[in-house]
Amino acid sequence: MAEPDERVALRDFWEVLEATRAEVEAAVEAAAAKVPSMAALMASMSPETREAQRRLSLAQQRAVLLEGRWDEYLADLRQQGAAYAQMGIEFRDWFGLLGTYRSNVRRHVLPDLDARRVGILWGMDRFTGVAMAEIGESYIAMKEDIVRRAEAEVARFVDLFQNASMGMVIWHLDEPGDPGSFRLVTANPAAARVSGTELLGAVGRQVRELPGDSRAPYLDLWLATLADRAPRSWTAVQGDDPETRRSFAAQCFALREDHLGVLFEDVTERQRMAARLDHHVRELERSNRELDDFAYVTSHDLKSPLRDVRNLVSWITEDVGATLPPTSAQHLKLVNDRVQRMEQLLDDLLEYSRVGRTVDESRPFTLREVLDSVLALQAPPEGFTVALEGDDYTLCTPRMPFEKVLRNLIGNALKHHDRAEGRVVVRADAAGDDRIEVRVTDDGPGIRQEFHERVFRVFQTLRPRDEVEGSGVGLAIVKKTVELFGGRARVESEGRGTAVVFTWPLRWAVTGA
Amino acid sequence: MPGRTVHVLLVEDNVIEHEAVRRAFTRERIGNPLAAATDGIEALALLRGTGGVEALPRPYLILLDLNMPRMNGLEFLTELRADPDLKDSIVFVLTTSRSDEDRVASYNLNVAGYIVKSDVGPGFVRLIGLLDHYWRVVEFP
Repeated sequence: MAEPDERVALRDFWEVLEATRAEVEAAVEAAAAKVPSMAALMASMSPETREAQRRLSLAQQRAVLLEGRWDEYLADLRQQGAAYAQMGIEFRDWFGLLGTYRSNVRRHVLPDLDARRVGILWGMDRFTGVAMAEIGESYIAMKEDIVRRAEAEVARFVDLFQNASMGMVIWHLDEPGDPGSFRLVTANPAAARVSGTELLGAVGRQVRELPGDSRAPYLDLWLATLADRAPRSWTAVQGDDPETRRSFAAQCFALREDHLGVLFEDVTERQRMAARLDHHVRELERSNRELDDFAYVTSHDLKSPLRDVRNLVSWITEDVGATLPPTSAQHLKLVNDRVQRMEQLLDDLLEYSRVGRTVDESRPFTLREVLDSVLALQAPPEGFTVALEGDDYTLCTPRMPFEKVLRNLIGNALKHHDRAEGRVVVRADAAGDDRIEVRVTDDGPGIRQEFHERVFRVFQTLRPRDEVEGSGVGLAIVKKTVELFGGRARVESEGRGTAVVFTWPLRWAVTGA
Repeated sequence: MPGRTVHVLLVEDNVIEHEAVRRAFTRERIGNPLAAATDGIEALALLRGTGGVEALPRPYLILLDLNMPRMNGLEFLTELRADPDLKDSIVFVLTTSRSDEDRVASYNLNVAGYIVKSDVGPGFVRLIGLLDHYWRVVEFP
């Protein structure tokens, strides 16, 4: 069987339609009435409208089937499809109506087909019709989903744009190379808030139409960014009065098709804050320096008269010592003792004030080396042992401050011990990647909880100086030194035994002079 | 240098330090004449013989404190080294300052020694004894 000629086929079809129009239309309307959405649609139309549609439909059939003009028909179909979607009529429903239409046309036109042929055609329609309806449904659903997601995405960006605390504006360069032709496309609320409400009035206008030339210095920057698509940033200052002047940090970047995005924010407060902070830091540094100088100078100057007193006492003893009454000789000795104590206090104060004044270079050393050198200078008394337990570590920091800390802690542990025998243990453990925690533990009398903070303060001692000679500066020096190297020192003690724990960096870069 | 007595000039504002040096001289039986100045200006006048005093005869040795009013030790040293007649003077700094800056500055001004007088009594006497040995064996300019 040869392929039918399209024009002939369409014309034949037209003739059949003309002959059977009334019956087919009645059947389709009956079918449509059973679909709720369709029924509602038909009920909403006046008889005149339905008559007009019928006439239009007839004209279209004639144009397509007799004259081969499809354009108007296809355009109308597209409009109908969109209208159905808007009215909530499912694709499946009106596709079903198409099936009704076909089978009715067939029944009326080809009454002489036998039952088997009717069955074949019905089977084919059913098979392809269901497939078309389902594919169409899911195709549309997916399209809608894509659109919804795109809309949500757009909505989020709009949300971002509307609610960002940063000012965002988009400019368009209307005439290439002409900076005056930058046109303000849109600005977000923050932009208006930050730079003044007149910005909203400027939307849609070109830079050259806008009052003032506050943007003029940056227009060439903008052009350059559009040319090479490299973002640029700048800071802008608005106003002449230092009291009300505002500072902005801004950056621009190229968008598509000669559009330029500009982000900016008011950094006035941040700058003021930074300036204030900077001022405070400098002030603090200055006052610390002054305090150090003060301690250094006073302890130095105070030592001189003390030396004189000691000289004088020693001369009196030399010259008339033998003839002095015993009590006076004893008093002179006490004067000497007190002067020596005062000198010790001043020496320690001087040492405390000098912590951090000079910092030597970082060199590698091990805990064991430092401990050995501490013990060489300060051998533990009979009955006492000092031992390194656990892992040895190699540190690369200035060595003297570390040695001073360890010397003070071991010295304290030995000096304040209340028994004839004792043991001091030094051990180190890793504390994070870049520090160790060093623990110097003794089995001495321990320190009560309420004094754990106080022992780190300058000139704080827990026992009278006549019992245990000490200026109370040792732990203060430990704390100041440890903190200078970014660490912390604390005391752990419950009942007998005290552990002083401090952290120390594994490596330290000496900065500054 | 037999037959030529070394004069010792002590430049120091603290009279008790003067007394300490005098006593140490007596203790160590040092008979050298001891001249005294309480600051750099006075010391320069003594060395130059200006202001109605006679110039200190050579050879002499100066014991110099650093902290003094009017003209301190380092200023005095600077002035001394700039004076063609005095620049070869032998100077020992005798001070309580352990500061690195003071020590470096003193040696830069060519002092013969920088001594920190931490000790009093016998220690100080031994120090003066050491200086006595120094000027007995050293050839003066």
